[in-house]
Amino acid sequence: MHIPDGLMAPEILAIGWMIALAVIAFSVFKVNKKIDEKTVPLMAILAAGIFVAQMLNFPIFGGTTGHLVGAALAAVLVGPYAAVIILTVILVIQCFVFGDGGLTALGLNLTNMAVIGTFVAWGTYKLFPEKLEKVGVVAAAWASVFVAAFACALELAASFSISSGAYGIEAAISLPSMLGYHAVIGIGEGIITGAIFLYLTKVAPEIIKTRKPTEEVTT
Amino acid sequence: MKHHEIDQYAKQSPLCNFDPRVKIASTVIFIISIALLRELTPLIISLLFLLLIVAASRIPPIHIVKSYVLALPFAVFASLTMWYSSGSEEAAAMFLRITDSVLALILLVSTTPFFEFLKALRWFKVPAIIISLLLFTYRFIFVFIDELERMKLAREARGFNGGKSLLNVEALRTIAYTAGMVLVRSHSRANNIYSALLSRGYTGEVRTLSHLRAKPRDAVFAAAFIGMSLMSLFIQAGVIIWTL
Repeated sequence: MHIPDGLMAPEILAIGWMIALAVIAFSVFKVNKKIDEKTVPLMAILAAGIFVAQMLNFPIFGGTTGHLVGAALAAVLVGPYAAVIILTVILVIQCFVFGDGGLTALGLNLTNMAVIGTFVAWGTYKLFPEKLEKVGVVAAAWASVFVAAFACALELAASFSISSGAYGIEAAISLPSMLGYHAVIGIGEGIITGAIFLYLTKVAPEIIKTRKPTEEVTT
Repeated sequence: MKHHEIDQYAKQSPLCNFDPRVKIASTVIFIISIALLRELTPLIISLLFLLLIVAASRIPPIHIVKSYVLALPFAVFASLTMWYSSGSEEAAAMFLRITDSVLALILLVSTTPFFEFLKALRWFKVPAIIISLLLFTYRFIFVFIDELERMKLAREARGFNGGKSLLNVEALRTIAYTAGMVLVRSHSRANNIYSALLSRGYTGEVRTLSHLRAKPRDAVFAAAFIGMSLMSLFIQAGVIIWTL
């Protein structure tokens, strides 16, 4: 889902940058307000952990593999605003160190994965009552990938129609292919995120910052 | 460390001596101009210009090809559908546009050490919290990659083969436990690293010994990239008539 440069219409790229910068600025403001000095290394550790976890490929079928995006995992572990910043850091490093995802397209990639992915995951997660928390995590992960892919397909379609066919991909092709592929990828994301969450609740509940301290399991 | 080669060329190439701020700004302007191009002629000229710089940069071609392959799925898929929906000329323009911008980005990232980026980003007024996060994250990534490699080796030694499909519950469980373990180990490491930083007087500010200074040759770099961008746009606008 990492959009390269040159694919999208310039107007869409500009809109992507505006949304991404506004939301990231707001998230920085939110996180800065309640930051204690320990938060930065902890968020960095999570960012690096998710970055490395993204390198784990899971099998889909017939030899194809998918990999974790991690927006949902970050959101359920540290809450949406910190998660936006964590995903931003991951995407910036992917762009500036590996050339994965474009420079002008970074705004759109941030909007899709860091902003939409995170907030969709958080919203979905919050829909579920506490008893069904684990189902909520799986659903949140699936929804975050699916909706981010939907946004990406819409951007491709919008680029195509406003540039009268010089940029982007036609809606008739972009929507079914992006949605079909990511509906399946999302299942992998859901299962893995759910299993990581389950594992963390058992092994290291202190990592999950979104919970009240009273819920912590004593070992 | 197995992945130390990630910014290996960033320290060898003759391009690495240029000011990172100039490199970032020039590349951004260049890629924006590429994004605005719809005609084949300026796109081909830009490609030739980039290939010339690539040759001068002395980055091994295999490294460039490897990074280029990352963007290939989107480029091929988009060009094919473009061919079907708009025609062959638009398809070729799309493919060249992506190729040009990806090449320009690879040139930038593989000739600029990450810490130079951070200094430049700080100069461009990116919030301090994001800069320190980038710094820490980048440092930790290599530690965890090593950790992951060790766990992968151990996993394979016990007979794990990656699984064949999403229905393979055992494979997914193993992958999830590995990812979970990376997070657990990283969390306990965070506290140690933070205590170590505090004991050396870390206050949240990042200070470095070297400072950024733009030199005359940086002006040449900027002039080449910005000149090329303007020329491409002029050719497209018809100000410069170009016959190949």
